[in-house]
Amino acid sequence: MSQTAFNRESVREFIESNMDVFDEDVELNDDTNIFTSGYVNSIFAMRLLNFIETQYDLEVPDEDIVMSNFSSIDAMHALVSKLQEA
Amino acid sequence: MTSASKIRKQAKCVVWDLDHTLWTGVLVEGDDLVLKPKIADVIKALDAKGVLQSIASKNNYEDAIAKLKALGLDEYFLYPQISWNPKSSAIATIREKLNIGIDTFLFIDDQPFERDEVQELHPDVECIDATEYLDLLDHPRIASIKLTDDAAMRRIRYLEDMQRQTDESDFEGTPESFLAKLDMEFTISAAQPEDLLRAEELTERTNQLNSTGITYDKAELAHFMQSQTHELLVCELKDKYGSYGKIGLALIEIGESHDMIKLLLMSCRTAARGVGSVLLSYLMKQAQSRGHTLQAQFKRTSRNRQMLVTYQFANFKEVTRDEEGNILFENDLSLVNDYPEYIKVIIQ
Repeated sequence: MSQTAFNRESVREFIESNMDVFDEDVELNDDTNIFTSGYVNSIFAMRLLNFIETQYDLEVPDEDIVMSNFSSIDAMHALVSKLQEA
Repeated sequence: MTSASKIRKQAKCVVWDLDHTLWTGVLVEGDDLVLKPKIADVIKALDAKGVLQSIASKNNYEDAIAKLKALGLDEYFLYPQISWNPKSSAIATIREKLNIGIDTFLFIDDQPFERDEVQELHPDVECIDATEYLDLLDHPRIASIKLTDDAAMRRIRYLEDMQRQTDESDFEGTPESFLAKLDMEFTISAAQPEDLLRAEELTERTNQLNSTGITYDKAELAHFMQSQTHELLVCELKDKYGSYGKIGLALIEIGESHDMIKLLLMSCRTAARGVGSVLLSYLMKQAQSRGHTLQAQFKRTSRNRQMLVTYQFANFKEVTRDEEGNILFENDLSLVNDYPEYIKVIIQ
């Protein structure tokens, strides 16, 4: 089965369209920590999780739904790679 | 007769058919329609108890709504589904709009065919013959509902919510900037005696967003309210459309070196506002000011992934988990964020 390659730009675009803090003043780099940059509420958290799961056709198990796996674009890349290899 | 008996939850919504159920006669045949005796009283009494009501009827939408308006009953029905589609899909739509469990629905219709069709697709909906409408208020799943201030306001709150949803889907911009336009005020206060009935009701009505699945009765809650080693908090949310009422509850045990969240729950009607995270932020700040760490008891079920995500994305880490899904979380409070700018948090 072919797997969707992780796309930094689509993830960046998704985060930027959801978090106001990245509108103007703050740059969203690959290693920017989104949890310390703005307020991640439960709604955005669910949305982000659903986005990753739908884009990459995978299910993130409970033990991987942790801040450190979603804190930055780099961290999400690592998580998706790990789950795709499994 | 009603469907298979098992332990059943209190009813939250009654869905009515129209022709030969609400009134005698058939609308499309141009009959002279007459309301069934005392049925308006039943509808109004259900409404006062906080039971939501809707309609699943095969009719022309405009004609049926006009008739309900003429009878002065249209305002009692939320998201009426009047079309030629199967009634099972009408009920599925109502359930989705109201965001309540399918196992809290009653469906009342004169035709066995319609009841069977609904039952086939929704085995957890209780289907009732239209001839039994006068007994509805004595139905065990309705008679047991206690009257609370929240119950009497419930339909109004859902109506306000319909307006919110329309405005939200028309809005262009980030979800955060939409929240910012709502002028939300979130009040966290110690529970008072007059809050206990509503608090009990919240533990009974909330399933998806209850952190442990434990329900507490009024006496137990009263005990915690007076206890020196516990805090019982209630939360109210208001925005420019109106008040959502008392929609959140938290029970905290204050220990020597750590605080324990024994229960955290949020009404489903605030699920889209992200206030669960805000309440957690408050509890984290509180524990931090006491110099304590913060733990939380959590029971993982098939329906509470959102709450698990809320905890884990607030930096709560799993310490232990048993086979039944009972989790103990701990937060070292290394990252405690300020409240988001789009909401005003008031501590009383």
